[in-house]
Amino acid sequence: MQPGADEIDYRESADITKVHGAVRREHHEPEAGAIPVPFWLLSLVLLVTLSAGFYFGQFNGGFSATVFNEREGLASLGGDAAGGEGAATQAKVETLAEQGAKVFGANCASCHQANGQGLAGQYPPLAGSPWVNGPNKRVTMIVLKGLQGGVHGKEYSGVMAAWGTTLNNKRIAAVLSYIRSSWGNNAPEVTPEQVAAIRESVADRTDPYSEADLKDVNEDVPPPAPAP
Amino acid sequence: MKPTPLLFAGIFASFAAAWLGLIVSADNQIGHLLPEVDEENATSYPINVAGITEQGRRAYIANGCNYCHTQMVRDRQHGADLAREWGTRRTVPRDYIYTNAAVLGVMRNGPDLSNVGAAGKAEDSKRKYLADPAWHYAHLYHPQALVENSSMPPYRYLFKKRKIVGESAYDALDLTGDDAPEEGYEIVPTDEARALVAYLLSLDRNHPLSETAGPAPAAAAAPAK
Amino acid sequence: MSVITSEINTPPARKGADPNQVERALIDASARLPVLTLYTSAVFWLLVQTLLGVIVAFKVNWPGFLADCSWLTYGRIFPLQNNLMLYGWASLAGIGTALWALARLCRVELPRPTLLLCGIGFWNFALLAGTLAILSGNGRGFQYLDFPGYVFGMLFVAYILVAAWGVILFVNRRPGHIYISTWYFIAALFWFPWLIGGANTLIGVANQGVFDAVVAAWFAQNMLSLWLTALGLGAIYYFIPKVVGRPIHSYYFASVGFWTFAIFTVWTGVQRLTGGPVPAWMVTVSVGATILMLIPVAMVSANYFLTMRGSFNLVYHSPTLRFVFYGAIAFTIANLVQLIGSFRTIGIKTQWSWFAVGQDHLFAYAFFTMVMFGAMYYIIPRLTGCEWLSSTFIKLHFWGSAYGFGMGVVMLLAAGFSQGSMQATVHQMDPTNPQADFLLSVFATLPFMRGFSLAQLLVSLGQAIFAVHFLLMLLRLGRPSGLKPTLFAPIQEGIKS
Repeated sequence: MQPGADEIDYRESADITKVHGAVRREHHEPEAGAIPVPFWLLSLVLLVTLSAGFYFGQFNGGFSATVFNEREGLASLGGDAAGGEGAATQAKVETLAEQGAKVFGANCASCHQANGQGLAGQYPPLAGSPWVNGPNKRVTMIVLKGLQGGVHGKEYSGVMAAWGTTLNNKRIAAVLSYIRSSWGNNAPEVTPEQVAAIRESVADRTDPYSEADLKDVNEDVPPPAPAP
Repeated sequence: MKPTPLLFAGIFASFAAAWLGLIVSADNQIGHLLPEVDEENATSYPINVAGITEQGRRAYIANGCNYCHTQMVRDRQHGADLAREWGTRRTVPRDYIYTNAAVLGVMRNGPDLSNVGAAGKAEDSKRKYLADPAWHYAHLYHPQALVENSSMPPYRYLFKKRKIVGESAYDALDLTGDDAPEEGYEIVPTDEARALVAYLLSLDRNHPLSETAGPAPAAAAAPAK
Repeated sequence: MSVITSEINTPPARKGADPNQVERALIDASARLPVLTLYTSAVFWLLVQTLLGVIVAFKVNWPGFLADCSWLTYGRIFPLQNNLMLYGWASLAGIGTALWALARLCRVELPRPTLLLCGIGFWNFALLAGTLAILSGNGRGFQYLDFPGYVFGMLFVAYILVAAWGVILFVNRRPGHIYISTWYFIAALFWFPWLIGGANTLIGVANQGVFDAVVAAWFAQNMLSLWLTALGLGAIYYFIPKVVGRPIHSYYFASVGFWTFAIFTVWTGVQRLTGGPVPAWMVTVSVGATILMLIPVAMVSANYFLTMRGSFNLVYHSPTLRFVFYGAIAFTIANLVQLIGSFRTIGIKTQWSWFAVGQDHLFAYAFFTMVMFGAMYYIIPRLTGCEWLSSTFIKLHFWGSAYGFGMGVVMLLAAGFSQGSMQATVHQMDPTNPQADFLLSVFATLPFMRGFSLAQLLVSLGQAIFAVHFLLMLLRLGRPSGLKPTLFAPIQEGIKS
C-alpha cells in the first residue's frame, strides 16, 4: 500500500518529513550538571548515618539467634558497673544479684519492666515495694506460687504465674537478690537454701496467692548456718 | 577503571553483601534447628504433622487463610497477644521447624491462630469454645451467625447438602434460621473442611522451650496470662 | 554560593531540536513491535488486576460478596491481585519502558524482535497458568510468591528472553558517558532474576519454617523497593529532564543516591516480621537499613525537585510531566511512610494491618504506576505514529488515578493505623462475648474501607478510559502527528513532550 500524505509509513522511509513529528520536537537526552553536594545535604547524610548506627548499636541483641526481644540485652546490662566489660565478667564469679539480673531480664522484665516500675493497673511495681524489701518468706512465696488480685490498695489486672515450676531454687534466689538490691531497694539477698526451705513449707499450695493470704506472713527465714 | 565493569561489579557486590549478611546468616542461625527432646518423658517438640492434619494445613494455605490470620504470638512488649490469651508464651523459630512458613501470615483481619488447639486446655480459659469442632464447622459455614459483624467470608463451598437417610451424620451442622436446610436435608462438612478443622485443632505452640521461659502448660491451676 | 556554582558547572540548556532525529526515528521503529506488545500485555493485566482490586475492596466491606465459589474466595483473589499487579502490569510496563529508554540512551536499535516476542508470549502464558493455579487453590501462600514454582520457572525463562536485550543494548552502546537512567535500568534488569531465582530456590528447597518466612519478607519488600523502584527512578531521571528541557541538577547527587540505594535497600524487608519469631538483630538490621535509605531518597528528591525548579508550570501542560512528577513526589512520601512504619513503637501498631498494604500501594501504585503512565504517554506516540486523541481522556485518567490512588492510600494507612492501635491493647474482656475485644479493631477499619472501595472505583474508571484510549492509539486512531503533542492546555513555546 502506498503511503499517502497523511499516512506515516514507519518502517520504510527515513525521510525527515515523514518521520514522526514527536521526534522532531524532542529535547536532547538528559545530561547532568556537576553541582557538588551542598553542606546541608552532607550534614543530613551524617545525621542519618549516626542515627542508623545508634539504633543498630542499641537493639542488635548481640546477633544472637535466641534473642527475640530487642530490649532483652538492655535489661541484663542494667546490673553491670561499666559497659563493655561483658566479656570480662564471664571469667569472674558473679554474685547472686548479677546472675539474677539475667533471670529478671528474661522472665520478669516483660511485665514488671526493666526499671521495676511495672504498669499501672496491670503489673505492680517492684521498686520501693514494701513486700520486696521486707522479710524474705512472703516475696519468695509469691515467686513460687504466683499472685493475683490487687495489692497495697491498687487493682492489678495481670495475674502472676507460678514461677516455681519453671525456675529452680538457684534462679529464684538470684532474681530475688537482684530485685531486693535494685532501683533503690535495699534488702539482704536470698540464698538458694532459703528458697528451698520456703518451697518445702508451701509445697501443698496449688493456687496463686492473693493479698489476703499474704498480709500476715511476716517471717524472715534465716540464712543457713555456715558449714562447720 | 572502565565504567561498565565498575557498574556491574558494584551492583553485584552490593547485592551479594546483603545476601551473605542477611539471608545466609539467617540460614545459619535459624535454618537448621532441632526439636527439643525430653528423654525422661520421651516427648519431643515440635512434631511433624501428618495425615489429615497435613491435609488441613494445605487446605489452610489453599484457601488463603494466612491472608487474614497470623500464627505468630508476640511478646508483651510488642503487642497484646499474650493478654488476649493467644498463647501462654511468645513463639520462636523452633516452633515452626516442621511447618510451612506460609502459615505465619501477613495480616490480622482476624485473630491469631497459633494456639487454637490449646485454647480449651487451661481451666479458666475464655477461649474454650475453640476446642469444639462443631463450633469451627458452624463458624466456617456462616461466621456472622456466631460472631456478629465478623468480616470473615463464609466458606459454604467447604460443605455439602445431603439428604438425610436414616440417621443424620455425626458431624452434621446444627443450623437455625435462614441457614438451616429444608426438612430432610442436612449440611455436612466435606473432607477438606474436616481436614482444615483437624489442622486448627492441632495448633498448640505453648510447649515450653529452653529459649523461652514460659510457665509449663496445663500445670497446676496457675492460669496463664 | 550554590547559585554561582550552578552557573559555572551546569551546561546551558540546549534549546532547539536535536539533530539526531533520524537516528531516533530508527530506534523507535526498531522498538515499536516489542515495546507495544509489552505495553499491550501490561495494560491487559492492569485491567484484570484493577477489577480484582475492586472485588477485594467489596469483599472487605461485604464478606458474603461472591463468597460461594471457591475460585472467588477472598483468600485467593487477594493474593492473585497482588501477583498480577507485580508480574503482570508492573513488570511488563517497567521492562517495556526500560527497553525503549535503553535503546534511546545507548543509541542502539533493538535487534530482531522474534525472541523478544516469544518471551512476552511465554510470560503471558506463565501468568495465565499462575492465575489458574491460585484460583484453583494451588497457591503457595507467600506474599508475591504465590504462583507455584513451575510458573516462576517459566517467568524466569521468559524474562531472560525479554530482558537480555536490555543488557545487549547496553554492552553495544555507542561510546559516550553513561546516563543516570541507564544505571538504574541495568541494575534493575540484574536484580530481578537474582531476586526471583534466589527466593524461589530457597523456598522451594525443604528449609525450615521461619527461614522461609524471612526470605519471603525480604523478597516481598525488595520486589517493591528494589525492582520497581529502580525502574521507576530510571524513568524519573529520564523523563523529567527530558520534558523540562534542562539537565539533571547534579551528577553527584545522583551518583551518591544510586550507590546508597544499591547498597542499603537489599538489607530491608525483615521489618515486616517485627515482633515475630525471628532473632531481633535481623529486624534491627532491616530497620537500620531503612533509616539509611533516607540518604538516597534525599538525593533523588533533591535532584528531581531542583531539576524542575523554575519549570513547575509545565506540569499544567504536559501529561507526561504531570504523571511522572506525581509519581516522584509519591516516591518520597512512600519512603518516609515506610521509615515511620519501621520504627518498632509505631511498627507494632501498624504491621500486619491495612497499613502495610497501604505502604505497598504507595510504592506500586502512587509511585510506580503513575510514573509508568507518564512514560507511556510519552513513548506511545513515538511508536504508533500518531498523537493521543483526546486530552479530556488524559485528564480523566489523571484525575481518576491521582485521586483514586491518593485516596486509596490514605484510607488504607488510616484503616491500618486504627486497626493496629485497637489491637495493641486489650479493651474489654467480656466473658460472655469473647470476640468482642478483637472485633473493635474490625469496626475501626470499616469506615476507611468503605472509602477505599470508592477509591478503587475511581481508579477503575481512570484505567478503563486509559485502556480505551490506548486501544485507539494501537489502531492508529489518534491525532495526526505534527509538531504539537496532545497537552492538557496549549502552551506558547518551550514544551517539548
